[in-house]
Amino acid sequence: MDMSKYKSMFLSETEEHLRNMSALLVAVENDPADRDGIDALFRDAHSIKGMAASMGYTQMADLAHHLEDFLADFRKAGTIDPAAIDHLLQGTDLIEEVLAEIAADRPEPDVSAFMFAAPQAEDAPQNEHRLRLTLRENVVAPGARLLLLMGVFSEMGQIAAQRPSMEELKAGGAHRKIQFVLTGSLSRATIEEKVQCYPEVAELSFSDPGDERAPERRKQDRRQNSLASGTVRVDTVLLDRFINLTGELLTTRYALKTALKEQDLRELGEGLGQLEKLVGNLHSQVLKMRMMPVSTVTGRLPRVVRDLCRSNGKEIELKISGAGIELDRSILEEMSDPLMHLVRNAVDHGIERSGTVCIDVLRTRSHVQLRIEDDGRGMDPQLLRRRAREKGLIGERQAEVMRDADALQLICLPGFSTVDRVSETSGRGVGMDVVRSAVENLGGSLLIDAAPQAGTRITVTLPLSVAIIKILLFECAGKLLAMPLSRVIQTQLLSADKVLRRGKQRVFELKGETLPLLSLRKILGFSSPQGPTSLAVIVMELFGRRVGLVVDHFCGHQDVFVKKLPPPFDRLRGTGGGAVLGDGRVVFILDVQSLLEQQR
Amino acid sequence: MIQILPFTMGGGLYGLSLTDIQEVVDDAPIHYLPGAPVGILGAINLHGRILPVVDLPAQFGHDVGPRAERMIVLSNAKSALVLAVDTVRSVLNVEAALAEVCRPVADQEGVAGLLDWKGETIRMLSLEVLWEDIRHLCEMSGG
Amino acid sequence: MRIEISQKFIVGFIVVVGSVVLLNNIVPLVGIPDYLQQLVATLGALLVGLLFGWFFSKTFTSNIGIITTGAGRISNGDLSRKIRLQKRLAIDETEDLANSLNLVVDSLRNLVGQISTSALRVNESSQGLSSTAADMSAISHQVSGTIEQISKGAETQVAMVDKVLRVVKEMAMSIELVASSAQKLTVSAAETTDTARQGEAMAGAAIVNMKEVLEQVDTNSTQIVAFSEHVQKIGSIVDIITHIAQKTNLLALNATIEAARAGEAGHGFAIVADEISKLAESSGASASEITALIETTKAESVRAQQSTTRSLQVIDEGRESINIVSDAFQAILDRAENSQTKANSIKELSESQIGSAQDIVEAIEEISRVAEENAASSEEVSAVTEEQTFAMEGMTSSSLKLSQLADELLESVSRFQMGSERGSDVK
Repeated sequence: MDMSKYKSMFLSETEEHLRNMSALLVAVENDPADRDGIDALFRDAHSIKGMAASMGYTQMADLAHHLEDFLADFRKAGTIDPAAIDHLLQGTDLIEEVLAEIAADRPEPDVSAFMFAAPQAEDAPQNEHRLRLTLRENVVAPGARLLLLMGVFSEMGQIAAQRPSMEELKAGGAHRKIQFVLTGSLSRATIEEKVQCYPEVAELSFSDPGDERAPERRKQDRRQNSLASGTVRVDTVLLDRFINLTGELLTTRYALKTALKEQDLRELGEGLGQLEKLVGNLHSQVLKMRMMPVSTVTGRLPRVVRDLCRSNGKEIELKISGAGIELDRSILEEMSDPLMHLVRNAVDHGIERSGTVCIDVLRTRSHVQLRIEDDGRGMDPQLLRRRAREKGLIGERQAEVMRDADALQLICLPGFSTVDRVSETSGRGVGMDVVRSAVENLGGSLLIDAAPQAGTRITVTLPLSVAIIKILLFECAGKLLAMPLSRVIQTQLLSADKVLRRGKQRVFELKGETLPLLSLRKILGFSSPQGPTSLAVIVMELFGRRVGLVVDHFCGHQDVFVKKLPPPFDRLRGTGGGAVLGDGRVVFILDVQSLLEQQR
Repeated sequence: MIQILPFTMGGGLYGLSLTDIQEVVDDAPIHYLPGAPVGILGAINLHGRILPVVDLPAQFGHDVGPRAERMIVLSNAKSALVLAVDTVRSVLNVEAALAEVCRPVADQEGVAGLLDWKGETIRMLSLEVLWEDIRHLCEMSGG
Repeated sequence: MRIEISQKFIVGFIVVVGSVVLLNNIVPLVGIPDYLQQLVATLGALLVGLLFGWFFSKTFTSNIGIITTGAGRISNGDLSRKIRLQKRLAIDETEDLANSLNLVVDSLRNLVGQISTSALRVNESSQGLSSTAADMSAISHQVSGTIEQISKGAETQVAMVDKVLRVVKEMAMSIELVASSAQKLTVSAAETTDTARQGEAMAGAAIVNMKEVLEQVDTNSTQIVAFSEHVQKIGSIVDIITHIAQKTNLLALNATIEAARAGEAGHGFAIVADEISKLAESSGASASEITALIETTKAESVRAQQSTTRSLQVIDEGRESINIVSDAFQAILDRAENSQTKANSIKELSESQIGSAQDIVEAIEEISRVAEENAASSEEVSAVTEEQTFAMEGMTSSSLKLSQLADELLESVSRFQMGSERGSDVK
C-alpha cells in the first residue's frame, strides 16, 4: 500500500509527540516523581514507534522502541533518574533529525550508536494520591459497594483520612461518595485502570498537586497542532457546529431561491439577512479553528532554557502561566522566533547567575498579553542613551530630551546591538528590531520596562482574534496601499503654507518638533504631481526617527485579515503582506523601512 | 495522451503540461504590489488567495508589453503564482507516442524540451528552472 | 424917522439960509477976497442948496417914479409885485402912498383871485356836468343799443330756439333710424351666432376624428417602441450568451486542466470538457450571428420609429391647425354674441333717447315763449330809454352854455397876473 499519502499526517503527528516529549522531559526533570509525566512520555514514545513502524521507517521505529523501553522501566518505578533525562532528550532530538530527513525525502540515518548508552532506572518512591470516588445514581446497596471498593484500594497501598470512615460505611446509610488518601507505588493511570472494571463507579477524581499540570497537558495532547506542517486538529464540537451551520445555510439558500422565484423582495431581504448572520458565524467558527494555544510556541521554551543553563552554568527557572490561552496560528507562527529571542535575552543578558524568568499570558477582551519578565540585571536608560549616542543612532539633542520609557525602546533600533543576529531555528537574523517589527506587523505593540538591578519586563500585546489588524488605507499615484494603524503616529493634512524648507529638504512642524517630509511617490518611483494645495501626511517612525510620509490622500481605515505572500515572494521587500478588501480588491501593507533599506 | 497548454511569448511558442497547471484565469484585475521588481506585475485575488503575477516574457528577456487577459496559475505544495504571457491558446492533445519524440535541449534556458506538432515547434517549459528563476528574482530584489 | 415932505422943504430952506449965513460968516474967515466973498458965499450957498435939493429931490423923484411904475403895472394888470420904496432914513408921505397902492394891489389880487377861483369852479362844474351829461347820454345810448341788442337778441333767440327745435326734431328722427338699424343689427348678430355655433360644432367633430387618428398612431408608435425594446432585450440576452460562451470556454479549459491532473481517473472527464469547449465555441458563433441580425433589426426599428415620430409631428401640426380653427370659431361666436348684446343695448338706448328728445323739444318751446316775452318787454324799455336820452341832451346843451360863460369870465380875469402869493419887491 502506498503510504506516501499519509506521510504528511505522520510528520505532523510525530512532531506533535516529540514536542510533547520535550516539554514533558523538562517538567519531569523538575519533578522526578511525576508518574503521570512519565506515563505520558511512555505513551508518546509508543505512539511514535507504532506510526514509524507502519510507515516503514525502521530506524525511527527502533529508536522510538528504545526510548519506549527506557521509559517503561521508569514507569514501573514511578520515578525517573535526572541523568536519564539527558539521554531521553538526546533521543528525542535524534528522532527529530530522522524526521527531518524523512520530510526531505532522504534516507534515514543510522541511530544504532545512540542506543547503546543508556542509564538505568531506580526504585520508585511512594506516591500519595487524594482520591474522591463517586458511585452512579441508580446503583443498589451503595454502602456495600463502597466497602468492596475500599477493599480493592487497600491492596494498592495505604489508606488514610477516609471519609466516610469504614465504621460509618459498615453502619449502613446511603453513602454514594467517598474520599481518602492512598499512598502507594502505583501510578494514577494504573489505579484508574484497575477501577475501570467496576462499572458502578461514576467518577474517580484525583486532587494531587500534580493534577494541575495534568489536565493542561491533556489538553495539549488533544489540541496540540503542528504549525509548520499545516495541519490542524479540530474539536468535534466545532465540527458539529459546522454541520449545523451548513444545514442552516442550505435552508437559507432554499429560502432565497423561493423568494426570488416569487419576486418577494421582503423575503429576499430577510433571507439575505439570515445569510449574513450565518456567514458571520461561519467566519468566526473558522477563525476558531485557527486558534491554537500559546503553549504551541512556549512548549519548547523549557527545554531551551534548560539547555542554555546547562551551557552557561546559570540556574534559571522558567515559569509559564496562561499558556492555554489561544491565539490565531499565524500570529503564533510569527511570534515563535521573537519569543525565543526574548527568553534568550533574559537568560543570556538579563540574569547573571540565577533567577527566574516568567512568561505570563493574559487575556483581555480584545487582546492577548505576553509578559516576559526576569528578575535580573535590568537595564539602565542612561547607559542605553549613551550607547545609542556613541553608535550615532540618535543625536545629542534627542538623547537629552528622550524619556526613560523611550530610552528603553532604543534597544529595538537596528544596529544597536551586534550580538545574536542569527537565530538557530530559522536562519534569519533575529534582533530586538526584528522582534518589534514582527510584533507591529501583527498589529501588536511592544512595551519595555526595566530599571537597573530591578529586572526587565517586556510586554507584547497582540490582537486576540485572527491576524486581523486595523489598517489605514491611502492612495499614492492612483494605487491603493495600506499601513497598520499601530504604526501610524498621526495623520495630518498640511496646507501648502505649513510646508517649510530646510535646505533641500521639505519639513514641517509637529508639536514643536521639526520633522522631515518624505514623498512616497518618490520612494515608489512615481512622478510627483504639480504643487497640490495640501499634503496628506502620515506621521510615523522610520529608523527610530519621526518622519512625515507624504501620500496622495487618505481612504479611511478598515479591519482586514493580512496574508503573507507565498514564498519565495515573501522575500520581497516593501510589503508585510496583503489583504483582501470586501469588494475583492487586494491591498498590500506598505513597509517603508524595508523599501528604503533596499534602496540604500 | 499528453495534454499541453500552448502560449506565446515574444513571438515564440511555448507550452506547459496541463498537469503542471492549477487553472487558467480570465479577467482578474492585477493589484499594485509596492516594491515589486520589474518582472512582477502585481498580485491577483484568486478564490481569496493573494497570488503574485510574474511577467514571464520579461523573465525570458523579451520586451515589456501588453499581456493577455488570460493568465496561467501554477501551484505546488509550498507556493503558487500566476504567469502572464502574450497569448494563451487552446489545449493540445498530443499522442503519447509523439510526445516521446520531445527532445531535450540543453542550450536554451528555462526550456525542458521541444515538441514538434503540426508543423510548429513548442518549447516546453521547465518548471524547476522557472521556480528557481523566480526565487532568484525575489532574493535579488529582497536584498 | 418920519419927516414929512413939507418938513423936508423947511429944513432945506433953513439949511440954505443957514449955509448962506454960515458962508457969509465963514468965507470972510477963510480969507477969500471980499469981492469974491459974496460970490463964494453965494456960490457956496447955492452949492449947498443945489446939493441939498438934488439930494432931496432925487429921493423924492425916485420914489415917485417907483410909485408911478407900480401904478402903471397895476393898471396893466400885473398884480404880482408890491411896491417897495428905497430904504431911507426919513420916510415921508410917499411911503404912505406906496402902502396905499400896495393895499389896493392886495385887494385887487384878492378880488381877482376870488373871481378866478369861482370862475374855475364854475368851469369845472359845468365841464363836469357836461361830461356827466355826456356820459349819461352815452349810457342811455348804450342802454338803448343794448335794448336793441336784447331786442334783436330776443329775436335771435327765438330764431335760435326755432333752429334748435328743428335740430332736435331731426335728432329724434335720426335716433329712430338708429333704433331700427340696431334692430336689424340684432337680427343679423343672432344669425352670425348660429353660424358660428355650427362652425364650432364642426370643428369639434373634426378634432374628435383627429384624436382617434392620433390614438391609432400612438398605439402604432408604442408598439414600435415596445418592439424596439424587445429587440434590445434580445440584444442584451445575446450579450449574456456570448459572455457565457466565453466563460464556458474558460471553464472547459480549467476542467481540462483538472482532468489532466487527475490523471487516468480524469480521462473521461477530459473528453466531456472538450465537448463543452466545442459547444461553447459554437454558441459563441451563433451568438455573433444573432448579434448581427439584431443590429439589422435594430436599424430597421429605429427607422420605423423615426418615421412614426415624423407622422406624429405632422399630426400634431394638424391638431394645432384644428385647434386654431376651433379657437377662431369660438372667437367669432364670442364676438357675435357680443355684438348682439351691444345691438340690443343700442336699441334700448336709442329708445330712451327718443324720449329725451321729446323733453328737449318741450323745454325749448318753453324757452321760445319766454324769449318772446322778453322781446316785448325790451321794446318798452327801449322807448323809455329814448325819452331819457332826449332829456339828457337838453341838459347837455345848457351846461355847455354855462361853460362858455365861465370861460369868458375866466378870460377876462386872466389879464391879471397873479404870480406868487407874496409877490416880489418892485425895484
